[in-house]
Amino acid sequence: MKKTTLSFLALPITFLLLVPSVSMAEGNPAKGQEKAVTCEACHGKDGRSIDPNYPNLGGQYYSYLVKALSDYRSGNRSNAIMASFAANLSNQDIEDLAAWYASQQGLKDLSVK
Amino acid sequence: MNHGSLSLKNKTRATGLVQSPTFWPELPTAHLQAEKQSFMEYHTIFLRCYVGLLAVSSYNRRLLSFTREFEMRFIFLIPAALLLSGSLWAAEGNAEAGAIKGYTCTGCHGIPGYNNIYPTYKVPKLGGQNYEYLVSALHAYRDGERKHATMNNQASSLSEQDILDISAYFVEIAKGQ
Repeated sequence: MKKTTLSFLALPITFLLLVPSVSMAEGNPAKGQEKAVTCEACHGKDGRSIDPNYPNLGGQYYSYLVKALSDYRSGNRSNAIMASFAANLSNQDIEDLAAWYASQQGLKDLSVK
Repeated sequence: MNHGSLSLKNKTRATGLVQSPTFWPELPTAHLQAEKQSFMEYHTIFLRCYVGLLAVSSYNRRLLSFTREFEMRFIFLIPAALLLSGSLWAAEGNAEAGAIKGYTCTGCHGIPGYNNIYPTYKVPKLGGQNYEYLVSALHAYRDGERKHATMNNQASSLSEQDILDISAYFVEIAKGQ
């Protein structure tokens, strides 16, 4: 009886253990800060950009930042400035940078009242 | 002489590198915006003078000749000033109108942690984003320069004023937070 319940639980439990490790493959914010020296020139030290033509990045979602940088790198999203910066980034670089800007404060959802 | 000028060039280059990248007081765009601003102010001042003269001369007949002279001299500026004052009105988004027009947006952008599907990533936060960036992003979606099926569809139905209003609303919503 005990053996059967254990065998029933074994598979779901291993999956549950695997899920966070897959979705949490996040970058390192500290390393991202070191790599963000170039980004700061436009997007600001605290994720508030220095010019209203450039987006604020502080507090933006991690996965969206990864998507945006990957799109700039692949050319899926075209911008003359960002294309040249993103071209040299590795996957690890993108994840670290995204983690750094996601860890900052600033942007809000539209649900705020 | 030639050597001297070369070394000076190298020096300026070196100091340019030493400066931190955040130390950029003048951006080319900021400079342009300031110039545009002063040009508009010049025209609105002209228009105010003209309207003032018209009002005063309607009370005091003796000033009418002065007004007519002003008109003769600067008549070529009147249509330009009227056009510019019109564009000044149009260039501003109305956050209150944006709150109504942008209600659809909150269906995705107003739900914390809401996911885009295929590929999966979180729908970006827009509250407190910069006005100019939001306007340019909506233009890019509307014109198909930036590709996202839902956003292309949504933006295709927006007028110029809708884009400005919605952008103003997104800026406004995060103020005082």
